[in-house]
Amino acid sequence: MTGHTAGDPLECYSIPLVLEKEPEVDGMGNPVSGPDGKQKYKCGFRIGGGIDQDNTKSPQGYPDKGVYVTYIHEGGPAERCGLQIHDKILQVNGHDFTVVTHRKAVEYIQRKPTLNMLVYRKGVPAIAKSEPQPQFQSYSQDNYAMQYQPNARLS
Amino acid sequence: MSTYQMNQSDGGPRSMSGGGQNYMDLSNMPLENKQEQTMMWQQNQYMGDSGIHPGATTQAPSISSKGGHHDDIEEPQSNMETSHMQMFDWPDQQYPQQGYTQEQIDDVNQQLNQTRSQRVRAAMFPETLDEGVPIPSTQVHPDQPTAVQRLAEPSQMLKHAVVNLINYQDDADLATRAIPELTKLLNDEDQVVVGQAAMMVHQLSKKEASRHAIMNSPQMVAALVKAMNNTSDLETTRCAAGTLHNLSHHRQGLLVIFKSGGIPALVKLLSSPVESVLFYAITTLHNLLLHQEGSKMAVRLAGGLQKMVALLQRNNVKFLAITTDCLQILAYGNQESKLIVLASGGPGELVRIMRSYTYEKLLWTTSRVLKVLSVCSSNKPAVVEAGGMQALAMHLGHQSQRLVQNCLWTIRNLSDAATKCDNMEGILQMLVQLLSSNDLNVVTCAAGILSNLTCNNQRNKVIVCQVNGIEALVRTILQAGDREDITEPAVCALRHLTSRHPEAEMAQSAVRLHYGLPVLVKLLHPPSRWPLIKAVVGLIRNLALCPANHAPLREHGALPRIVHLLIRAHQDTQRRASISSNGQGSGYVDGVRMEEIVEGTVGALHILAREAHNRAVIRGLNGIPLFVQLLYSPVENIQRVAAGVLCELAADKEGAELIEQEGATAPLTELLHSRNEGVATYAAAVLFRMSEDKPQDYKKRLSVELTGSLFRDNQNMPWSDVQPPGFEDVGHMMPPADDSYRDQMYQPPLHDSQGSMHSNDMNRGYEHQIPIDSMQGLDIGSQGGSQYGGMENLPDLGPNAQSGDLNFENLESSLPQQSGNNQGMPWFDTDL
Repeated sequence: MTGHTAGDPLECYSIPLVLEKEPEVDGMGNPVSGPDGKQKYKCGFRIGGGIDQDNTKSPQGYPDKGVYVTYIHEGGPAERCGLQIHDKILQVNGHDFTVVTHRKAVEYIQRKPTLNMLVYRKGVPAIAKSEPQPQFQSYSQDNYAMQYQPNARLS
Repeated sequence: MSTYQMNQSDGGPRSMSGGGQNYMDLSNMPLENKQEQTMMWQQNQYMGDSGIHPGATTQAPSISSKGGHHDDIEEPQSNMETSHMQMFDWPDQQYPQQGYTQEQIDDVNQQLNQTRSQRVRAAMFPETLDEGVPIPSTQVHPDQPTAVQRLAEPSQMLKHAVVNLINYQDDADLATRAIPELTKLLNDEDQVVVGQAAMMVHQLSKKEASRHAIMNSPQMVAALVKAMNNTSDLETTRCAAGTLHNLSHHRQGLLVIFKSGGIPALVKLLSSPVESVLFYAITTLHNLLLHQEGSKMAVRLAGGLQKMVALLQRNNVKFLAITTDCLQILAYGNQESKLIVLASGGPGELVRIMRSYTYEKLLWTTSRVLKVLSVCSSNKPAVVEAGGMQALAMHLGHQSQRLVQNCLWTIRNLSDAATKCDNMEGILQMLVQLLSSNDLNVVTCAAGILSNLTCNNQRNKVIVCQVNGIEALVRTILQAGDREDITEPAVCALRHLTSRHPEAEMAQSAVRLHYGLPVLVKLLHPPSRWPLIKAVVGLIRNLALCPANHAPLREHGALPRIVHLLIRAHQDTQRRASISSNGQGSGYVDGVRMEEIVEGTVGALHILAREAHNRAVIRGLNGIPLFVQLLYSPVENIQRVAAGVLCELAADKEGAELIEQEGATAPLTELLHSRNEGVATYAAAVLFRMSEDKPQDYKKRLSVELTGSLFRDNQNMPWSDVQPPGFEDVGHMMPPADDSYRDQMYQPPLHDSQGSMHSNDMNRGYEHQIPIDSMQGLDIGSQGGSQYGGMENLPDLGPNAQSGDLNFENLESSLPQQSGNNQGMPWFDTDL
């Protein structure tokens, strides 16, 4: 999947991960709150990319305008859940990350304390082209019932 | 008319299909000709006297003398007996009970008989009547309808029910038997079979009852979708698509299509080369998008947006209208969709449509898509570059109000990105004309657009002045009263038009000549809110650049009001500073910071103070202590304007004395060291003027001080030889050039009090601000004769320097490069 054009249909195998955020604490171990008074959480990774960014300028040389993991903090929640550097995030809590601005990606990630993610990692085999299957999508189309299965159809 | 007679011999249970020859046995009727059947059934009517008489309760036919059986059910068609009309008691009637011979009664009966069936038919089957045949009415009393009349409505309802039953009788059979069969056939391996089945289903879907049967079978619809997806036969596709199209006119149909995965299949059909398939697909998708929840997301996910944008190249106007409407539904409020449309080349196609077609509905739907795109900061430049402004402006004179309004909104949204455009003459002229429209929305938009387009754009400013824009704007303000939606952008436009372009002077005078000054001063008072006040103050400042305006402005009471506003704003900032922890009082009221008001009002007073009378008034209002206080402000701009107004005031002896008495020397001396050249220069100038009467050695010390501080970067250069940095042509007679009070920087695209950029569909308020460039023009000269001693080491600020304009005019703005284009954006990552 080198260079997927944002907005095109995409079908690939993906890795499902569940990341439980960690409450942020200051030096003394007291929980830190944000300006709205709510507890702040740390995910323990950095993301780069988005459809409003120019991926040719990325130091890592990412091939497309998807959202990529650019750094994993050691011992953090991201490392613990199995996220790896240079993973391409396909979906977070049901939101499609293949066509999303950077800001929106940050927002979706910051919303909930638990992230159900689907990521693509280099080395994962491509789906073998087979007969088109009848499309019985889940009844409520906004809601990806297929989240926890490795075969994600995203378009 | 044929007569109908009940079984009179057969006393058995009444059945509709028994006995009577005249009664049609409908169960054998062929499938077609339902209408005929109904007709025939209608014709098999009752005749004769039902024994129903007005005014009396309907009696069972037992009244009749005939022996035939009767029913308790009061169905009109069963009460048919012929009978002679008897002479009954008609308690409510007023007919004389006597005096009718039997013969006469028989005659009347006869007449009634003949017309009765007509009347009954008229009541039950009005659609079968011959036109124009009068039927004598038997109504004897206007308040008392005849029995036929009273039964008319229930009979009609019954008739409809029976007709429906007749129709559905067959279709219900169909549903139970045929649909499962057809479903199986659609799932067949053999493509020919599938094709045939699809054709049949398509035919069935055209009739209402069978259509409902199809809709209620999810398996059938799923089979259709599958067939549509997998087939390579065009006919099959066409029939399946046609069926779905027919289903899509019903809510239930939409739901079942949606649930059976119809949307991805339909989106796939958008690539079909067959026109009818394409039309079916787009219309069905349109219906889904309009009425079926969840469709939008599904279409987006199936890649519908890209395909629809590609379809914009077709040339059937109705098709285009539907497609653009779909795009509008999909893109509205969804940023990602808008970006996809951009990436697929949407803006160019849409602009081309606006330019090329005249079908009103298409223009309207396209303008709505452009409107939705125009609030997206990435799409905006693309639309402008594709010639969107001109294309939309083409239709501003159209008779369709909704089209004009949408074009105006879109142009307004785009206008802050369009300031570098050429050939705007037509648009600007049209907009000036639209200011006289009766429709307030149109006027509001036109004012807003003019305000944006004239911001920092010399050419546009000149054009607007040349097409009598000033007059139109002043008139608009006069007519708008206290409608700030209109007055604010109009005032901002005038503010732009009265500075920094070749016709500015003419504009400044024109405002006065068109009676603009009184209303503008009035707008400084309540109920005007801060954004408007700020705009008016800025405009007055510009107007004061024209000497002829000084007296009128004073006479209309501008000065006291401005000073009052200044005091209020200043007190507010003081209060906030004392409350807030870091000593900085910076708060927004109505989206305007009070520092901005302070700066604006003092700036206006600065220019107004060029005139001697005005200076006297300002002194009288106790302005000087306030200005001196403002010298201590942490904001450089405020320091500068305060020093500037003091500089003007110091031109008079009384002024200079007052200033010194207020202890201005100390802060001014401080300000000499300011890194802001304007501040330092004005401070120097004030000190000079104040030092007029001082002893010589004082002047010398001052001179040294000034020289040292003004030249701290350039210590080796003697003052007199070289033009001091930042000073241009001082010492010449400068024509009273336009003071380069830079047009307020505007924040695209949101409505911001600074630049009044208006944009649909976006929030108000904007986080950061581009600071007004500190290199503002300095106008040190003043009129009305001021005498200074010439200090030889200094730039000539003496009487020869009339309105020496230290002009920082040509500094390019330092707007951050906001290219909405993705390619311009840097790449960065965010820690989470």
